[in-house]
Amino acid sequence: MRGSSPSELYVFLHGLWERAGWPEGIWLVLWAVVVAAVIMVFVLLTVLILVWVERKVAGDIQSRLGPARVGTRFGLLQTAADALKLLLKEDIIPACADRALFVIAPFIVFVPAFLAFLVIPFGRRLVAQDLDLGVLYVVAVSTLPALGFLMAGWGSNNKYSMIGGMRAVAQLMTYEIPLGLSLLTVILSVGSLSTVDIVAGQAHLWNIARLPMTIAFVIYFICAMAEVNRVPFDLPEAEAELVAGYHTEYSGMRWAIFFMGEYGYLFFVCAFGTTLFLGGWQGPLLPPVVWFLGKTYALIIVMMWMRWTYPRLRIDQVMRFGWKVLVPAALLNLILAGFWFAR
Amino acid sequence: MSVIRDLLTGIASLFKGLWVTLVNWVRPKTTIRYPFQRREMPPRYRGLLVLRRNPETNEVNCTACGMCERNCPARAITIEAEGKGKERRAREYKVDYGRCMFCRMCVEECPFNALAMTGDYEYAVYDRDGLVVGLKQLTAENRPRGMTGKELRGEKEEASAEKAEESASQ
Repeated sequence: MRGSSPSELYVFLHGLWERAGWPEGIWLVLWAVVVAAVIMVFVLLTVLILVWVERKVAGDIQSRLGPARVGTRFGLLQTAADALKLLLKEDIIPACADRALFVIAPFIVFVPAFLAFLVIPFGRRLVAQDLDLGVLYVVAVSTLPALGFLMAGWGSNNKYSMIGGMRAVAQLMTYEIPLGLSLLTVILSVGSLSTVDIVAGQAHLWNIARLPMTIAFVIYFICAMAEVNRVPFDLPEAEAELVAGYHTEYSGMRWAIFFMGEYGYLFFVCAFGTTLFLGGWQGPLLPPVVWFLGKTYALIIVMMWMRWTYPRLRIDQVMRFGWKVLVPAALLNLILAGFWFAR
Repeated sequence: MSVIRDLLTGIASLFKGLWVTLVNWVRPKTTIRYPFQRREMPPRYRGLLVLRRNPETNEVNCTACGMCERNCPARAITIEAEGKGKERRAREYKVDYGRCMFCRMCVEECPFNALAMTGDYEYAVYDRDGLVVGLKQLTAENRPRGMTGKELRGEKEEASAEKAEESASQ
């Protein structure tokens, strides 16, 4: 935890608390709860919007309209209506399932998507916790969903779920490596693992404009797409082969939690890419938060665009591409960056 | 060298694919949002029947001559007449849409231009009895089940009457 300048709001509220003479310990807990709640609400709202955007983009690309009935002619309330439906659905747990794993798995997938937002700087001082090892923390946290996928696959006691879970783990572990290597390129040039420092270092020039990091960004983007299991890499849930992969047996709200995790993680991956490569909240004229969200949404739209353009790879192609192309490319890029940023 | 060429054409094909979807993305959609928007039906569309009125006297043109009843291949029309000579009118005029096959023979054969087919294509009812439609529904200004025959509205009356005659003479 760093002592770097807290926001005016924090200082003001903390001052009020101290003037009231209440104990410091309770304040810290209370503040943590408030921050967590704000992040939670923000992420859930974003997921709600993203699902709608995804369906609209999908419709437009496929010469359809997408949601167009619930909530004006743009279907704005469609996701809310779907959420309501899912809440009312029967909760089904297969008879032979491993109940404990089956029940916990969606949360293991969902919670890291929240946790990761802890270190994302949304604006000048708008960061929940500026960790010294922010990037490392993100890498650590974003590996957790793999565990959840495997738990879901195993717990469902279903061959399709099992294959999906295994694939998810294999894929996530494969693409975690070039992802980490591409992050290293950024760390190498900035010399800090703190996300706030990385954004501050891009005040004049976004990282993506410097050569080794352009390559790193491409690698990051591909790996990010694989990490969130989106279409060219959606093998864990390839519906043509595996019904729905690891969440075949899930329905109702449990399934919705997987879904929210997926979209929360999609948003996070794009937000993190924005932070590392696209200058975070830096930008002229408009307020920082607008810049940050604008860049993030642009990345998300590109990801959706790709999802509805490309066909799915085969699992051996995914593995071969990860190990034989991305890992060497990321390593070479790291060496290049070493020479490039050597002072 | 062929490896590099393959790689470059591969990458180019990725962007080509994105271009294709982008073109479709921004292209205006042709979908009609059905219950809210409706397609304008062509003038000779064979939809639900209506009995025409004389625009001046607002009387139903039908004289209960029975030509439609006799010419109906599906025997969907049943007429009960009342009055004699010039006073002859239909007391009841029943069309069974469960039998009707929308061949338009009744309209073609009508010597008094008393029948017309509307552009209405929403036939669904909750039970079979609802498919049998009487004089009241066929002539009523505020017809139930959305029977909004354009021909019965004053301004369109003559134009479509001409059209009906044209198509009959052809």
